This record gives sequence, structure tokens and C-alpha cells, in this order.
Amino acid sequence: MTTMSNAYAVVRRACTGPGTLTRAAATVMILATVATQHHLSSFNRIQRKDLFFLIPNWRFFAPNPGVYDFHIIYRVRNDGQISGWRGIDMIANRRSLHTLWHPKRRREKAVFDIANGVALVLDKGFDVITRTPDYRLLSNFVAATVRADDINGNIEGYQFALARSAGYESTKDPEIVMVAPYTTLSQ
Amino acid sequence: MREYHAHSSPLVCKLIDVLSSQTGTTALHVSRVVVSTALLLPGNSRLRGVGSSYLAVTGAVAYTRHRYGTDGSDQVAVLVQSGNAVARLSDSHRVKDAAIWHTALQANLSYVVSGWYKLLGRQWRQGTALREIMRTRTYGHEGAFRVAERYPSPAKALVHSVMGLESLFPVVYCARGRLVRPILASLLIFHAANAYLMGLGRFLTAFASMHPHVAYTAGPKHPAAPDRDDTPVTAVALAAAGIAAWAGVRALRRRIYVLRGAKGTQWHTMPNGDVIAYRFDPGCETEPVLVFCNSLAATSEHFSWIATTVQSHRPCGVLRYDRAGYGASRQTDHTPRGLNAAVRELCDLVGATVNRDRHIVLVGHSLGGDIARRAASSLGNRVAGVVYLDPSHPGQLDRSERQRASSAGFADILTTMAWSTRLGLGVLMSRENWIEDLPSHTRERAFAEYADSRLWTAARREWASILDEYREFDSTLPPVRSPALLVTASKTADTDPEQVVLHNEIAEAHRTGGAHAETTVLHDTDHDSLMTNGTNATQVGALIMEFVRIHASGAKASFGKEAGD
Repeated sequence: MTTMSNAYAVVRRACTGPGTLTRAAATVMILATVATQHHLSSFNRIQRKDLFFLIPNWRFFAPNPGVYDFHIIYRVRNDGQISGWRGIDMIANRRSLHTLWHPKRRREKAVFDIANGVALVLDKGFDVITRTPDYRLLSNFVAATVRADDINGNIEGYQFALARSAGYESTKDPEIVMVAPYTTLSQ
Repeated sequence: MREYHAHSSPLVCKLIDVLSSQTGTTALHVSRVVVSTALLLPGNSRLRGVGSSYLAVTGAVAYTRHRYGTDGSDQVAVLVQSGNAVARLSDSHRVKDAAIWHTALQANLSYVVSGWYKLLGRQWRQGTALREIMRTRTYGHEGAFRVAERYPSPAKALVHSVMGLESLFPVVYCARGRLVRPILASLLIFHAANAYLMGLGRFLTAFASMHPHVAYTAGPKHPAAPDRDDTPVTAVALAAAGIAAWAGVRALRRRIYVLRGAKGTQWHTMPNGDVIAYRFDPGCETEPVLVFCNSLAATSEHFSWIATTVQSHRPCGVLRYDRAGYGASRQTDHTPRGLNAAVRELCDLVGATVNRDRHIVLVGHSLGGDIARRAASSLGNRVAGVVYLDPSHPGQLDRSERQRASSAGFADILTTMAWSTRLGLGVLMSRENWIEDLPSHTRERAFAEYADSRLWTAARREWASILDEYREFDSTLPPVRSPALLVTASKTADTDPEQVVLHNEIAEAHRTGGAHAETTVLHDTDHDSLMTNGTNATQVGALIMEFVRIHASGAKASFGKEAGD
């Protein structure tokens, strides 16, 4: 009887009294966090409702860590001539200062996120890929880079590709992840 | 970002518009810098709670503006500032403790989830993760990469130590707080190393900001707070138990619903004891019976659009069934079954349900196509035709690089799906677009079957045998004497040209057998939407009807080799 009474008292104390609302909110957040950690997208019923991304994702580098660098390369059509491929170097070489100050990390992470987002829909074909926010952001970024280089205003369009490399591991060749269709440069 | 919020309220859209302007973004960040600086000043004013609230709210709002490029440290910052705001603004010690416990529990989750999830990754289990991450310029360090490459054993030991440290983080609550300092100190070293080697400096400060909450909750009650309230843990445990029970009940109800079968389901018991659920609409006796064979990890609901289309235009018979283990069909044992068993099952069912003098047309999607091709030989001249919808070919894993690559992790996915749904996590599954594309009356059942562990368990068993059989295939396909229609999805053709060659070989097997075979690529379709998208499936249905009209209509089957022979 004493054990039952004690258990009841513990439950009652957890569910009533000052701070009940805070405990309830904390409980909801903790359980929502647990419920959104599944790595397969099929189990995303709760994530889809998290408009402000308040529920954290704690699966850092797991189960499969990012083991490639992503690179954006592009070429342009200028007065009917196709240029060679050029790269946009987005990755800062590692420096000790990065421990304290590394604003370029945001841009690196953005490319990393976008590349992974595009890779997820690669098998859907370009009519789907080109409609995704990830792809459009990437394409607009390349367009802005092209425009910045277009001093004479002669560039008619561009084509970009997403490649991945094994970074410092020079024995592995880079691979093309996706070659985007030609895009006319709107003025 | 606006597209992600296309269905949000106008207020949220307006907020994003304001924040997305240069003035809005600059004002947001300047104000955050000012408030953050103020919080660094000494003092214990209640205004600190207001400052934390401001940083929490603006941090969450900024996430909608800067989704790309943000990371876990931003989420930690919002969590910690939210908790601190509540604790600082309240006079109740129980409110303060609930807020502190929330942050502490999130800290536990952050390490535990990350640690245990690593066990699912090959690189982590094998201890190569350090070397492979360090090789990248984005998150790596050339010097550390060279060292890890030169000394693989210590690198492996380090990887496993990190996994152990993270996975076992909750032991910090043991030994009356004596483990708090060594464990938190170890984690600080871990975060400092990540900051230096991986460029993750913000993680060092973000995660360290949760450590005081852990230290407060893990140690004995502090003299300054002797009545620390630990009931938030009880509340979480009670709610977790309640939700687990609810998820279990939902899974049980789903299982019962699936096993009951759809309206009109009949049952056929196989010689080995398996019970096959099927739906048979005999249609007009002078018309052939279309027999639908579903793909791997799919049920007969996938054929809903095509069956409806065909039946609304021609009085064909339609036989839909689920292989043993799928849908309402039951498998008596749980041993892997090869394709021959699936073929025997199909032939036995046809023999038991369809009049012997009726022609049948086998319609198979993906793996179902391969089963149909094999069954066509066994069923002999009862088969008036075979319709392949983006079919599998036994040589595809050997010859198609894309198929080989996608099959590499497929067994792991099936295993994860099977275990997750078995643990009741089906309640966390959302209705995917393909389910919403099905006819409305079939969606509930299609989703129930999809979220039930039996489908994934059956698929895993099936996949294990298919892998063995396909890997051993090194010859040409045997001739098939029935006419064939082969439909390839345009995206399959676009993304994997080798698959088109394989599909042509399937058609060629029919030509070698002296029968007519035609192939077509259906524009703007993919492997699954051939079946699940109403528009695409209607086109497929029209192709099937035309095929039936030319090759299978109005003729009686001449007796030859019978089902199950």
C-alpha cells in the first residue's frame, strides 16, 4: 500500500502544482524531439508540422557522415561560343582561426545542404528537380555569379554541374553528381 | 524559403517577407548582437530573462529566413535561450527546474541520439569515419587526415571512444554526481577538437551552454536549491509510456484491419499452408482475365487505378492478389522464398480461381513483371499475353550500375523499415504523395499496409532471395511464347539507359518464342507513378486495353499446360 501511495504521490506531484504548464511543454518538446530523430523520411509526420524548425535534429554526422566535398562548376554561352568549365570555390581552407571565427561556414553548409537536397530527388528527373527550392536557389546563385562576371553583357546563358570529390584524398577522382540543363540568362 | 511556407498562414508569409528584406535581416541581426552583448554583462536583473526571450524568438524566426547554412548549434542556442528565459522570468522554483530539466534532457538526447545512431553507419562501426570525414575540405583537416590514414588502429579506437562517450552520456546521472566533471570535461575536449579540426567553433560554445543544466540536474541537490524539483523526468516518463502504449494499440488495430482484407477479399490456401488473399471480378466469360502481380514492398492496392480504368472500358475479369506475407495474405513460415515460390503461388491461385477455358493476361509491375514472365512459361497457352510495367530483369544488378548502386543499401532500408514499424513507429509515418495519388477509397488501406511491419518483413525476405538469384544470373532469358507489351517509364529510360536495353531483352525473349512483342516508353512517368498517378495509370490502362483487344479478346484458351503443372 505504501509503495502504491508513494507512486501515486509522485505522479500527482508531476502532474499538478506550480510549473505544470512548463512541465507539459517540456514533455511535449522532449517527446517531439525523440519522435523526429528517425533518419528515414517516411517517418516525418511531426517534422512536417514544425514550421519554425523548433525541434532539433541530433543525428550529427550519423548514421552516414558526409565524406565528400561538393563543388559547383559552370560554363557559359557567350556570343555563341561555349566557354570551358569554371569552378566556384566555396570552401575555405582550414585555419586555426576557424575555432573562433568562421563566417564562411554558413555558405559551405548551405552548399552542403542544397547538394544533399538535390541528390535526394535526382532520380525524379529534371522536371521535378528544377522545381525544387534547392535547385532553384543553386541555379540563381550560379546566375548571379555569371552576371557578376559578365562585364560586356554578352553572356546568353549558362549550364552548371554539381560535382563531389574526396577532398584531400587525391587518389579518388571527382564524380559528377548532376549536370543541369542549359539555362538562358534573363536580363 | 517562401515556397516551404506556401501553405502557411498569411501572417507567417508576411513575416518572412519582412525578414527577407535587407533592412529586415540587418535589423534582426544587429538587434541580436546588441541583446547578446548585454547578456554578457554581469548582473542578475529580470531583464536578462527578457533578453533570453528575445534571442529565443528571433533565433527561431531567423531560422525561417536562413534555413540553408544553419546547423545544430543554432538549434541549441534557441533551446537554451528558451529554457533560460522561462527560468529567469519565473519566481516559481518548480517552473525554473522544469525549464532547466528540459535543457538538460535535450543535452542528453543530443549526445545519446548522435552516439547510438552512429551504430547504424558502416563508417562508424568500422572505425573509418574519422579518416573519411577528415579527408573533406568542408569538415576535415588535412593534417588530421594524414595522421588517421597513417595510424588506422588509433583512429578506429578514437572513433569508438567518441561513440561510447556519446552513447553512454546518461551515466553522468550515476554515482551521485561524481561523474559530472570528468564526463563534461571529456565532452569539452571533444567539442574543442571539433572546433579546431572541423571548423565547428559555434558547437563548442553552444553545447557547453547546456552543460550547466546537466551539472545542476545530475549532481546531488545543491545547498542553494535543496528542494530541486525532479518531477519533469517523471512527467516525461509517464507521457512516453502513454504514447508507447497508444502507438502499440494503433499498430495492433492497423494489423487487424490489414489482415481483414479489403471488401470482396477471398482466400485461397496453398498446398504449403500459406493463405493468399485475392479479389476476383470474373467479368464477362468471353473476355480474358487480367492477373495483376505487384512489385517488391507493394500490395495489390497499387493496381487500383489500372484495374478501375480497364474495368470501366472492357468487361475483362480482374484478379488481384497479394503474395504471402503482403497485405492480408499470410505466410506460414518465415523463411526466405525465392522467385520460383512466387511463381508457384501465382500459378496455383490462377488454377484455383479462373475457369480453365479462359485466357489470362499477366500484368506485372517491377519485380511482379519478372514473376509474370516466369509464370507465363509455367501457365502455357492459357496466357494470352504478358504486360510488363517497368519490369525487373534478373541481370539488372550485374549490368546496370544504377540498379547496383541503389540496391547496395536497400536491404538496410528494408530492415530499418521492418524494425521501425514493428516497434510501433508507424504512427510517425506520413502519407506519402503516392498514397494521396491513389483513388480515395483505397488510400486508407494502402497506408495501413504501408505502415504495417508485415509488408517490410515480407519485402526483406523476398529481397534476400532475389539478390542471390539475380547475382547468379549470367545467361539469356528463356523464350516466352505469349505476346507481350512492355511499358517503360520515361524517367527510368532517362536516368538508366541500360535498363532500356534490359527491357528490350525481355521483349526479345517473347520474339524468340515466336510471339509478338512491343515496347513503349510512357512520357513523363516514373517507376511508381506509372501505377499510382491517376493520369499515368489511365494511359497504362488504355495501352493494356488495346493490347487485350488485339491479342486476347474473344478467344477461348485451348488446353495445354495448366496452372500448377
